[in-house]
Amino acid sequence: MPDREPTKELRSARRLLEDMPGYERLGDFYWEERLEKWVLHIRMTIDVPESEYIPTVTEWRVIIDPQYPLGQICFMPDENKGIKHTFQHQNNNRLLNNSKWRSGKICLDTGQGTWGRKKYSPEPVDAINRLKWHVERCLIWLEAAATDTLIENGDPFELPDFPTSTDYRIAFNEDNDSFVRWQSEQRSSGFFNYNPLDQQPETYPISRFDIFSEEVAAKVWGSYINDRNKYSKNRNKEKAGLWLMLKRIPVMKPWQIPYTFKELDAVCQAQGINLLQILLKTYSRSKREKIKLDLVALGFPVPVRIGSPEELIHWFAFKLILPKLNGFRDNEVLWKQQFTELISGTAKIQWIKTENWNSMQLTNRGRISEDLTNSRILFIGAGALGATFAELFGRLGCSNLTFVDYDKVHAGNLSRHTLTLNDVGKNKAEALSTHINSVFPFHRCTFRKNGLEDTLSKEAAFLDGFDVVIDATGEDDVIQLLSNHLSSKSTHFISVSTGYNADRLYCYLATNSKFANLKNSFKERIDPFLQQDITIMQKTSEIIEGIGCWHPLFPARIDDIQMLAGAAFKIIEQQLSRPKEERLVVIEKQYADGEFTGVMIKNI
Amino acid sequence: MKINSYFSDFLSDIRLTSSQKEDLKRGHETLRRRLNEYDDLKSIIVSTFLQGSYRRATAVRPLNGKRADVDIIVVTNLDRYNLTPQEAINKFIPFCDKYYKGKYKLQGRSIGIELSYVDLDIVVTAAPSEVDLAALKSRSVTTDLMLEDFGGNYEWRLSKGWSEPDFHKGYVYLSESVRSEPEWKINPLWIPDRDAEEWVETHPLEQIRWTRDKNKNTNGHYVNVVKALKWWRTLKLTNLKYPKGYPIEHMIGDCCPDNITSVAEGVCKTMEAIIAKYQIQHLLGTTPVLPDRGVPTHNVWKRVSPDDFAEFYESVQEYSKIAREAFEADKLKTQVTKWRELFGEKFPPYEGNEEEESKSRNLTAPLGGFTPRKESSDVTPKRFA
Repeated sequence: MPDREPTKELRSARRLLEDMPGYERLGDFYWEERLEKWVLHIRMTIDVPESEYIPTVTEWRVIIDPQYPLGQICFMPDENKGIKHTFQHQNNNRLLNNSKWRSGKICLDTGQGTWGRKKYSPEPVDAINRLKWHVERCLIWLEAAATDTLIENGDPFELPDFPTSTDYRIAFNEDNDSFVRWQSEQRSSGFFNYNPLDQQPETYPISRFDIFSEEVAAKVWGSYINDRNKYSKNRNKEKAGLWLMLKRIPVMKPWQIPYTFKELDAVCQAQGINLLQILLKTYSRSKREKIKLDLVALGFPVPVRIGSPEELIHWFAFKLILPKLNGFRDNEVLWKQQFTELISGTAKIQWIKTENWNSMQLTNRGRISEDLTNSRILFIGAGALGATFAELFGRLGCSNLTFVDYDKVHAGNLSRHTLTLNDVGKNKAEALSTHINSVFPFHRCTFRKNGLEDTLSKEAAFLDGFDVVIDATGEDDVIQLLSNHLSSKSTHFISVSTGYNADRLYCYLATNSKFANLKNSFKERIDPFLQQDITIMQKTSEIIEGIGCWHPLFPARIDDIQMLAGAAFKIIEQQLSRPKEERLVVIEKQYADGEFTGVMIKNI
Repeated sequence: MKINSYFSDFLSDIRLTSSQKEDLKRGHETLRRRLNEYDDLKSIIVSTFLQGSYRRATAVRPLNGKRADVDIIVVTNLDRYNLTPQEAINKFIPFCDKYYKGKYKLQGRSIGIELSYVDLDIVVTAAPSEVDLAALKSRSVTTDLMLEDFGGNYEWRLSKGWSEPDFHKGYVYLSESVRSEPEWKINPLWIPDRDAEEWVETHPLEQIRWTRDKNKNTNGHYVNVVKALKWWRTLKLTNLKYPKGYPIEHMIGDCCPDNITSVAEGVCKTMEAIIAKYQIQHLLGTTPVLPDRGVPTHNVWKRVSPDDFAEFYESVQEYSKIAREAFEADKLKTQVTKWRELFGEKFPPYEGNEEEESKSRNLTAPLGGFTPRKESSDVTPKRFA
């Protein structure tokens, strides 16, 4: 509308720029109706000599939120006089239809997860300076791009941004071990299988490459994916693709994913790889073996940091769509013709999103040490407390949890449990195992649907298979049973339970002890506290579950349970890596004048 | 020109505010609707349209709580040979009594209506010539958009096929067929002058068209030069009653050079041109004669006394020096400070850091980012979610 005016904040920010060397404004703010944002057309002139991809003078369209200084500030290369290539720290830079700018937004932010540096200068948040800071960063970015210093040794390795045409994704699982396997592999191409997970948008984990032994293939994924492949309605939908291992990442200079097969072919040629020959050879083999190929996956080694040795295989993938040709029989002649046409033509590559779903990749935002993630952990009791600790262990990357519980999930449990209405009526141990397995694709949790006693009567050596045994039942009988059966020297034993109202959490820890005396040493430490609880309980009336039954409940709120469990987890983690003498740790909520003031931790 | 953004922000702040524009719109739309629905006037009204500084986009924001005003021409079929100016005006009095009782007064050539939020000026005209009837009813005349409302590639034209741009479309441009249509040559309109007891000519549409062309020849800066200088006049020549309003606009129109590339240049050179052009009148102690556009026999500056002109002329002399210094200063800060001497607080202040000015960027400055940091800087706390 003609009446729309930029705000005072926008105007003062833009006036402040006028004095910046290297900056020139080519028009005033104009309103972009489609985006509902302001756009400023600017020209940048850098102080360093012109380079192959960066001219001295470039034009940009700066897209700014009307709520400035809130919101995003995006620097887009101008459609005619913007930079035309794609660099690191930049989105894929291509021409857009009906647009005054190209898609190559450059990354100027200093948030973590963009280019995380050891130190960064804070971005101003005030109206006057924020835009100026961005313009300065744009000039620095350009100068770095022109002098080839956008990345340096030690920076995290970043894949180029690329436009994907699909909303589904391909997941693969690559780590240092699989890297070593690939390095020793003689073949450079072959087939792989992938299966859909029944969810939307669809994800297709690569279930196996044809070079894998059965044993390796079985270990690629955890229960979530394996069980689906075995039982789901998609199990017959296994698809096949063609894999091809390259020598290095297939990018065009400076850092752009190939758009067309012609460009991809040139990138492969530069690596001494004859794309046409490999595709044709593998495709002909698939035809003979009656395998239908839908995808091509390109593998290549990558370092974790720039300049360090390569240590992982990453995969790109695209749809395999061959041009239709008439007048040929379905034989080598036709296929050769099809691939030749595909590669020599300007057909665009339909890239598909790919993600490494390896445990080290997915737990980057927070995990515990690797020795702990590999521990075999038993949870006796899958109630509110067991579930809360299972959630912590599971999300922090522990894959091998086993749950033992005879009880079923009730709707009334849900106020302090991690499960949901989907699980009501199911066995708690099974439901919790399924839930934790659905957290990460590499988790392999299992369960027993009986109590500990029944489980031991069926499997006498059941307890020997664990590094950590966690009792989350709050029952003395379980402590008694464990006194009799826990013998494995390496075992850590932990018992967690809360006092009345979850005012306290009792966490008993013992490692490599003579567990025979467990019951007594546990009892003598905890009894004084239980006595205090009893006094309090006698003063309050009991809570009942609901109308129609008279069953005293133990009251405790989820906020208390999660808070106390979080504190207890810190202590458990220390115990597992650097064990101390057996002890009882009491974590207690603190109040002063009725105000909550924190938690206190006592070692008994 | 770095100063341009200061000028565009200054102009944003002296234009009518969007709420003032809304008020004007509400005022004139209501009035025009009532006129068209009023039984005793229905048969005599041919067309109504907007004129004046609002329409030409040369209006500035009223100071000190004054109301914005808009002029409405009411074209009638009244015969100026059979009716005196007073009789013509009388036909509108029952209407004014009904809708604006106690809020209107009869002026020399118009009926002034004072509402709480806006002033309306009704200018009644006698019957136009037959050939002009279609034109006067056309969208191009009756539109309520002002010249500034059209983007660079859409212009207002006085022609049959012209219609308003559709602002909901991404790109608005005038079709080639409308662009090449010849414009109507409309005759002046006749309005009643009650004091002189005669009908006199006026030509508002020609003023609008002239302004449009002048604006085109000055790269779209002319209407902004007018607004800036009108603001200066209101702010700095507080003791001077005349000239004000249209006479000043007209003189700027005669003196503003074509092909200026900025408002700053326009202001500076217009002031200098006024000094050069009217040097003789100033020396002789007379008032210049400025013939009206469309009605050349009218002198726009008729009301201004030689003393008032002299005072006006000397103020232009005084301030044109400052304008020239502002226009030629090297440093942006100096430019801004000087322009603020002319235009006051509404002209945005310089907020940059003086030490930084004209210092080239220091590439080793710790801005963080693409090169490892050589020195530490404060890491600000950050919330993660």
